Amino acid sequence: MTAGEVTHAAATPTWHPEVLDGPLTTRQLLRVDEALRIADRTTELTFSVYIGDLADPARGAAERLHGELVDPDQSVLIAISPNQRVLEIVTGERVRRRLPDRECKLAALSMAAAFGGGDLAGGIVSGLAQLADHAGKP
Amino acid sequence: MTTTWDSLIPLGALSLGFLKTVAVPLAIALAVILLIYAVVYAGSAKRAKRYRPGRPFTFTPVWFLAAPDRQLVGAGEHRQLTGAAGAADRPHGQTGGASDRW
Repeated sequence: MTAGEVTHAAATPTWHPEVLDGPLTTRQLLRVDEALRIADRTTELTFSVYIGDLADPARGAAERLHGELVDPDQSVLIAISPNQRVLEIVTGERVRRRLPDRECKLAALSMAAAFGGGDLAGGIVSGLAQLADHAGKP
Repeated sequence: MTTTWDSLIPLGALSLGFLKTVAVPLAIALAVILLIYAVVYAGSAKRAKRYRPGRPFTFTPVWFLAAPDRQLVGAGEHRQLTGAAGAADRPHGQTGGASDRW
């Protein structure tokens, strides 16, 4: 298994899901997995990445997903909706002190540039690295 | 002693039937065509996984976490995320972050 992938709102609960049929190749999944683990380990925050449609308003939907994490205050969610071409970065209350909105906006800009070129995995990996770098060690 | 053409030239190839003469090159040509087709088809199937901006995104929504067993509410009970309002109603502080479009 590559990353901790979870299918979202699927008819049947699955843990080892159809993620291999997703937009990322196995090699890209491994890169995302590695980037997530490094970001979590270096910052001791919880980083997560959601790729899929977001109900309108997208910001509210992303915040609801963020609220499903065990410790939202210590978590960062990157929600990407390729159909709506929307990217949302949601940070918890305690994370905001280490990762100001301005830094999130910078990461979002570089991620959106990669997504505009069709590079989902590259944008995710570079965005995670950028956010983790800004958050730094606890 | 008289020399004939038969003793000078190996005429075995000429004794092949019409079917063999046509079928062998045809089979080789078909094999090459099939090989090229397979390579092209395999390449397009690989490219189909790629996200293309502006094209419909029909893949299953996925959520990546480094350790889902520990990082999701109720992950041990039902390993499915619903985005339900109930989860968001749990008290947590003000959120921040950023938004962008492409």
